[in-house]
Amino acid sequence: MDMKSADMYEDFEKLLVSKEFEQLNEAERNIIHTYCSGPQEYSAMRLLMLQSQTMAAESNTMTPPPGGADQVFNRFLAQQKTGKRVAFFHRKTSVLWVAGLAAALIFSWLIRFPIKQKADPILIPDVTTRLITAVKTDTVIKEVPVYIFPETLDETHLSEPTNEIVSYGGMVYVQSVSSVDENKIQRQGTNASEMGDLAKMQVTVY
Amino acid sequence: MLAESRHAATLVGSDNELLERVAGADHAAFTELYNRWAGKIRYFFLRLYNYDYDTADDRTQDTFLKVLENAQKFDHDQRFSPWLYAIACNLYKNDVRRRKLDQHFREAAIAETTVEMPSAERKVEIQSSVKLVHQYLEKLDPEVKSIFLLRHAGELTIPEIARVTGCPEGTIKSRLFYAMKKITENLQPHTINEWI
Repeated sequence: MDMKSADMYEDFEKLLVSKEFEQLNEAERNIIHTYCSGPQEYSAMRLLMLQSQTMAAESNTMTPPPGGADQVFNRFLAQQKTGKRVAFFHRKTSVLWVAGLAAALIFSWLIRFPIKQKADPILIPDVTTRLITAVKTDTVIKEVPVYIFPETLDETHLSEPTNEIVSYGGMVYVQSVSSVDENKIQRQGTNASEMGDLAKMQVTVY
Repeated sequence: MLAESRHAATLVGSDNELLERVAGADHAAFTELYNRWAGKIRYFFLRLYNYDYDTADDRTQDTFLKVLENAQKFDHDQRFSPWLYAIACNLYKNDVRRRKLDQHFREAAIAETTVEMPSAERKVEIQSSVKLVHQYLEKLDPEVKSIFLLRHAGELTIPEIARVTGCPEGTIKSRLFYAMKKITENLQPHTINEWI
């Protein structure tokens, strides 16, 4: 049914109820032709409409169900007291039974098709194990005696200390000590600051 | 005397006025409303359930139980009958939805429609003048059938049916026309000639 036909549907119903096909004028026949093919179909529809109208009359004569209003009202009151819906006599399924069935269906569905939810990605760092040996630092590395023989040094070979580290080669005689009781003078000059001084000092020994 | 006059007062008044009292759990007002409408609703269900009286009676009582439960929610600017038929239609829809799960039930219902007719007692009660039309009506799709009955048995207007069913007015009109077309197509030409 198109829009135009839908708009005229109520007019069509009124014509069916009120007029025989022969009684329709030109404009009314135009309306009718959008719904039915000819006089015979119109007549069939008209009789159907007239018979359908009897349904309203039949429903007016129908008696209410046995039990009456009191039965419904009492059930309503019982329902109010218990807080639960009271089933009528012919009801075959209870609400609880349906709820239980629904829960069982959902449960079986979840077992059959478990929810596959993607977990958040875990970042695993590329760890390389390295063995680190702890070094205990000490300002005094080792006390060793340094024997410098100034009488053997040629003064011409003793240059002024510079910032530039220049090695000329040579040798420093270092004698280890066996105890702290040994002559203290023999154990001089080997703490950290002295090591720096020593590095700057150039000693040439022939 | 006072009690009688009070009872008589419940018998007058519009449906909406009675429903207002039903909202306050007024038993007498409910009885009056029930007596006015239960027969019509029962007839509506009888036609929908192909003269299954047990189901029709249960659903009629269910409908009025819903009236009691929801009377406070009723919009008093509206007519009572479309609201009542809306409750009835929803109950019917729920049944159809349940029964659609069981194809066997559906087939049995169709077979019942074509073979079994109402008992003699019930025939007298219904007093239908054209059984043939009724038989074809019962073969219609449940939704189309309910719309057709709302229009002709419930005497609702098309906008009211649209509100009751939640369908656009155009859809209601096309379904009413479809129902009419389907019934008349099923009728044999000789039957129509007999009518004419």
